[in-house]
Amino acid sequence: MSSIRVFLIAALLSSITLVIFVASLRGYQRSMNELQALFDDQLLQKSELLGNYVRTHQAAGIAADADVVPFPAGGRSSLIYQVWRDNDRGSVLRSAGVPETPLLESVAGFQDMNFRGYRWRALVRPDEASDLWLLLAERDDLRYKIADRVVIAVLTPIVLGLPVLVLIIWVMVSRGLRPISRLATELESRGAGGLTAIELRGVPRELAVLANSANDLLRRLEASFQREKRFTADAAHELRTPIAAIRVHLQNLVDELDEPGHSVQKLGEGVDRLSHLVEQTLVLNRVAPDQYMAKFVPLDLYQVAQQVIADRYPQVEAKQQQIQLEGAATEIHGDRFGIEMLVLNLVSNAIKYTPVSGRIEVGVYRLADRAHLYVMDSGPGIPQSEYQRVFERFYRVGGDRHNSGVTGCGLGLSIVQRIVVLHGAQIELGPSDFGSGLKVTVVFPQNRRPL
Amino acid sequence: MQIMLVEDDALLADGIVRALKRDGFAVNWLSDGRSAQNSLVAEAPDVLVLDLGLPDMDGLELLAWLRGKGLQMPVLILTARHSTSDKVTGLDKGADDYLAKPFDIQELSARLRALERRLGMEKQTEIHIGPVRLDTAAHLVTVEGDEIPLSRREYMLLKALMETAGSIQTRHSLESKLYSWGEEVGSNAVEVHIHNLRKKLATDMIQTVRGIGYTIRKS
Repeated sequence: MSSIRVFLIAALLSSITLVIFVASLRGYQRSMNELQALFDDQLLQKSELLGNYVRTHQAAGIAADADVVPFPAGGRSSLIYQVWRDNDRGSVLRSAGVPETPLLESVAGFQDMNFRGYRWRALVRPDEASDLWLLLAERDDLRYKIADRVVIAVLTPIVLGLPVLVLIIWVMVSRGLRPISRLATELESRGAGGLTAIELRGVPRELAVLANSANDLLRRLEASFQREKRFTADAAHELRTPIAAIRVHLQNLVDELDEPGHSVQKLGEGVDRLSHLVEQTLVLNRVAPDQYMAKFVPLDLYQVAQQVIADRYPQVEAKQQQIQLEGAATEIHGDRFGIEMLVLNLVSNAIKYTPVSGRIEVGVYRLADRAHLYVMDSGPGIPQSEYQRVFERFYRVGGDRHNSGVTGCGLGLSIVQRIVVLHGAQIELGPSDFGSGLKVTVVFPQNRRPL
Repeated sequence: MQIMLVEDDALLADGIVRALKRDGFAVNWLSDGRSAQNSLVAEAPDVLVLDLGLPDMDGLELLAWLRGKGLQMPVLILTARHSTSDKVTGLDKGADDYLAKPFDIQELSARLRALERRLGMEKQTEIHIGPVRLDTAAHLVTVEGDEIPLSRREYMLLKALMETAGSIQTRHSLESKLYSWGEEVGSNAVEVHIHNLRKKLATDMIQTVRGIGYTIRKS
């Protein structure tokens, strides 16, 4: 993934380094030129000194063609000289190790030349007072050494300062990017707690556009959620009311008939089935992962189980079943509607499939910091080979001709499954402790954070 | 007892009216909020059965309006919305009971009887299950004809259990019934009262449902 921070730091550092490098190069050239001029001046002065020296020695009668005469500076190998006559280019004077033949033409001016494997800066000029030519040369590399020292002295603090610069740039870039990470955190927190707009105060101008369009998106998403919610509520109302009406009229019919016949009884079963299907479809739709706005709150799983069992108790009593709740208060982070529907579907299944006078046990406990809920019954159970398929929608064990003779629509465990996924929990099916029957265990994650 | 039913669905309202009349209630049916308001001002019923989804206004709005007018009759809400928050909102706004559609008409009848008893208007003031008779008018409990002296709390607990025979009362809901008298309740107060009740009644009609609460089976 590309990073703005890494890009900014790399771009800033490389451009700063480049500018410093180019500037140093230019500075090096400038100081080199100035040093050259300075050294050339010195060379000229030394040449004049050499001229005076030669003239003095000629006046004093020293043989002008003596082989080697130590000129004051002549001992140093970094400085060489030659003096020759204008007419025959015969050597008058030269420093040690320099050939008699002039190294350069008798042309006045500064020149560069090669000698003894070095590069030299040479000054050739005629002496005005006599007919002699003078050549004085200095080694170039020594000049450069001095220039290098100057440049290094200038560059060293800059190079040493680079790590400090990196640190300062890092801090400033991070600081500059902080509004972006703040905006990201803001956006991340949406979804769990609702789709409220992002607070625009304090958002820098560059990000305002982004925040505005995010707000626009959030508004549209919120509107769509609201529409969906209203539709579901309307559909629920529109479906439940006529079913309620049919039920009431059916009960009136039963009361008015002296002997309600077979068909009236079957009509009742049909209405119950329709009613159950509508309820389960509404719930399944409501817990659909893509449109479910789960509101995670701290819940006592034990209390939810208690309430659900209390609500369903009339059915338990009608079948003279024994039901019990084990365990103690256990807090989870969950969506209240979802958790209620989860427990309700598991308990309803247990009541439905457990025969008259059977046993049902519900338990809530915490193990290894994870909340556990189990519902087990003394019904026929589910063969292990069917464990996977029972979570499919509309799937019923043994097909439509369910041997339990119980009305159902095959959505209960699909609803349970969705809610389990929504909470990041796990569900396990297994045999119950009652000898026969099913035990369903739901294990909630530790310290659940909303999805 | 005079009941006003405010329900916009004619098919359902027709069925309810018919059933309630058969059960001995006088029912006045209105199909929208506006006419319900007029009728409530003209002649207040004893109990209002209110559907939340009305064509011209929200049922909760009507509820708030009538409580604002100082009308104190019990209100039973009928609703097709099932969420817990709707239920809580309804009860917070001054409803006395709540029934979700589709409901059992016998359940509606039973709830109305309970409201009737609360108003002290019922003709039938006796609930009897097995050998136990509880007279809600005289606050009297007899077992096979012998009067059993009960404390007020014991009486209230027994009444709550007998009124809802066949369903379960959690310890929490029984406690809240004690609390509503404004008295302090110890952590095992309900257990103690149930224990005493069982001894006094000398029957095993009050059953403990482990982990949930207490119940009395329908006779």
